[in-house]
Amino acid sequence: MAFEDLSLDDLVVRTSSHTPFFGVYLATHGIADAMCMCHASVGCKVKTQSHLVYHEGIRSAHRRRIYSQFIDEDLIQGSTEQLEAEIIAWQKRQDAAVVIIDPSTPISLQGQGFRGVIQRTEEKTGVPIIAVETRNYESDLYEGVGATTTAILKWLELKQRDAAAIEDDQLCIVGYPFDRYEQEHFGNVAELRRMLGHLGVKADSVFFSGEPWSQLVRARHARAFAVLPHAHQEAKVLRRAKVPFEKVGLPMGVGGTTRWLKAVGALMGVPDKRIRAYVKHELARIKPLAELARRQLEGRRFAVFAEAPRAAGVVALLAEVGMVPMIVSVQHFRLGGASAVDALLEGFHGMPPLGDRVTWQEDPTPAEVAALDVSRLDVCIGTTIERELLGDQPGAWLEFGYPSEQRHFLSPAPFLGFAGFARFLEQVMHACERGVSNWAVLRQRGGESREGEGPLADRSDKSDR
Amino acid sequence: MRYRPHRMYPGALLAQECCSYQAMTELLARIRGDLVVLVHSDRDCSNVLPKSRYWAQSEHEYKFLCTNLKEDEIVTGQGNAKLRRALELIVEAWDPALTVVLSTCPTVMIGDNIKNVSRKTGRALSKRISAQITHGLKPKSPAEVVDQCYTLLTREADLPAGVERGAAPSGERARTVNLVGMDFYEGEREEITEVLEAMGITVGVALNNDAHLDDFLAMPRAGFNVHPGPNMLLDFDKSCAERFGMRAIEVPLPFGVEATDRFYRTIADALGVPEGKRDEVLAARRQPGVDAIAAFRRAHADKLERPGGLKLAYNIGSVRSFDLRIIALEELGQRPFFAELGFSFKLLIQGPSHDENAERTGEVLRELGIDDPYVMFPAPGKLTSHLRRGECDAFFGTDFMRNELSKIALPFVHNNRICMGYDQVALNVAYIRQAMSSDFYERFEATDAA
Repeated sequence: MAFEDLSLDDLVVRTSSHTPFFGVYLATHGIADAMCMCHASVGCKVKTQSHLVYHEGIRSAHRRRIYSQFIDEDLIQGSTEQLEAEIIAWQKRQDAAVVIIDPSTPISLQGQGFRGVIQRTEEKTGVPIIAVETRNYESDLYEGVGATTTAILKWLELKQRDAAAIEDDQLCIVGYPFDRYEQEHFGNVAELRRMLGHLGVKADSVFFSGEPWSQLVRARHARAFAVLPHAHQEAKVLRRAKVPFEKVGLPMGVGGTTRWLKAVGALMGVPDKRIRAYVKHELARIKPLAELARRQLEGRRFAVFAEAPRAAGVVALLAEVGMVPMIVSVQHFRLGGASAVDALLEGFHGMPPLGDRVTWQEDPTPAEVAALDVSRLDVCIGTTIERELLGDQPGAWLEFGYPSEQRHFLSPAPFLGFAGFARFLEQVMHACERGVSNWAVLRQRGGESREGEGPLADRSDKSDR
Repeated sequence: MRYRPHRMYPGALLAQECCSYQAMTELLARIRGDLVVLVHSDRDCSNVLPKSRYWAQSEHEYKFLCTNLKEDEIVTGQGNAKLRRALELIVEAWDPALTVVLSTCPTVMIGDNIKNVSRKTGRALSKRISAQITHGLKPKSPAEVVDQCYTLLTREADLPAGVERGAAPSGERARTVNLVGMDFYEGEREEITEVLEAMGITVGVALNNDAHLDDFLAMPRAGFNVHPGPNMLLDFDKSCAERFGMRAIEVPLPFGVEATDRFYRTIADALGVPEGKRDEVLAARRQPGVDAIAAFRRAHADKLERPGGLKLAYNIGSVRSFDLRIIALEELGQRPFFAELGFSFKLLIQGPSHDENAERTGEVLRELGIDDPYVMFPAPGKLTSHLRRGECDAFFGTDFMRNELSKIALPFVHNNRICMGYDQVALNVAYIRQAMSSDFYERFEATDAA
């Protein structure tokens, strides 16, 4: 029998079913004045923008995303004429500084090349036209984000750059997971720049940060490149360009941030003494905050649902105040699974691997997520998708990562750096505060006994002290 | 840039085009019941399915599955075999009352025969499996996909015992109507049911986005399908007439008092309710709405009396909807209500701004008897280049236009907030008054952020 080994799990639509086609669009969304030209039919328009509509609270998902509207005749007779006409018309309408072409599956089936399209449309528009060619069959959205990063870095022709143009204090950060124009991301980018500023380093160009194309192409002037985990697989384009770079971790938590500053500082030639002095200053500043958070959160148990780099960052950050990871559900797969989380913890956060001390999931099906028992945990940290799958169970939730459709920010809410350490813990404390009331409600209803467990037990412990 | 005339469904020529596959998933997602949908495609097309917001009503672990074709399976023609095996797995696991198979652009391009595979598998397993060719390579009107979807779901409906195929409604069927294609907000269906029952008419099932598969299968128990017109649900009506002898009653959308009068009168007349009885029932219900409209006009008497009167910027074609209460009558179903309030109109129609399209749009409006001035704009960002500050008193349209409106400080009336029926008129009027008195857009400068 054909496909004898096929199972229902092979047919499931997972979180990771967001494909590179969507990833290219998401990356382009992170360049303020870019235009994403989906070379696609009418349904692909919905396929891309609908996943951002509720997550993105500031900038409309459709605003700078155009589609070429090919139909069956175009596929037979050639769709490049239509594509070119749309690029030229919409680039002018939107005054786009760059156009990223995002080809859909029918186009990849035809094996259509874009060299001629790029040449002709660049001549007519006067702006860069960059085609990001990915395959949508067996990878996830981070492939698309990564491919967009690589395509732009290639376009920059770093190998041929003029040495005189390099600015000694300029660092380019690659792999920042920007997905909306909200204050967690602007807060993160500001925090990275604030910390680097104390070391005498500037980071004008961040891939991607919601800033204009003119800012992004300042990468040409960077002395070196710091590659965050979301783009570790893209570092090869920098190696080929023979530019100085370092693969670094996500600067989450005190340990992770300190290591990040040391790695980046070394890359930029900052004296170790200066780095240590700055870190010491920051630690003294945030110590009372960390103490407060530790008193509130120590011993509390949590689950995290995120792609590997963010999962590792959350585990490391919360472990620093004594919280206990119980479930690590690694979403998507291109950035790795359980072993990647452990490797990131060990390599970039100075933490021992979690090994078999937690329940792991890797690229789970929705049914596998829904089957988890999180009712005895103090807080779950994850996206709207898992929140909805587990929504019937009691307990506190903190939406984090993409998508966060219920949680939006009106003031800076970084999760990176020293400021991010404090702000993220503050959110966890507030979430757990609501969690306590859930537990209290359960006890009042005469639910299962939780003597000696959970937040209520923690409170009695505290009063004993 | 090329202008390609819509080859659209006759009743919704100004609506946004859609991909029939994406539209069908959106419609089927909310239909409750023992229904499983298998998308025959690569992973990318399964990505039209939202992953959050409790969007899919399902009786099983999953409502939507995908054959998740890999590149080599597509290129080497293994799609049909994988589809067959996937259908067997679904039947083994859940034995659903109905399995729907949908195609997408890639599987249509490579010529996978989903109808044949589905028919043969259904026959072999003695199960209901229906296939529908869907894709984005020929854009459709949302109204056409609603028609296809409802026709698909009623394909398996059975006539009540003792009723002959194609026979005209008689007995209880001759006094029973289904409400088709319109979603209902709180209180709307209740009013329609109460008013029609007072006239001796029974409301059978409501076939809309919140319906159950069983509703579609039970729909021949009624003799009539009431739905907005003109030119909606053409195949559905034809199929229901041929198979079940059902008659379609095309009604105006009941927004405001006068349109609601026409809505009820059309149904009553089709079912032979005596005029006196009909008018007696309606008179008892409509007065609060009449009073609310009169109060609105008194409150805005100064504006109504000035040159140009009250003016509404009425937006068409910017929102993608599969609800006939929005898309019927070229999205102008709510216009009669605003006309009762005393508004005149400027139509702002999103679509290609080619002369050819503008002419076609003019013809469509003339056929509907609409002679309002209109402009075409290609994208939301271009909306306000067609509106002067102070030219209109409010904007009626879709939510994502709000930021655009801040550029000209124009009050916003959400097109999803106007409700149907007599009972809702006073609430509609209160909402519009509140929206028009908001000074939110006076306080903020325009931004380009959104």
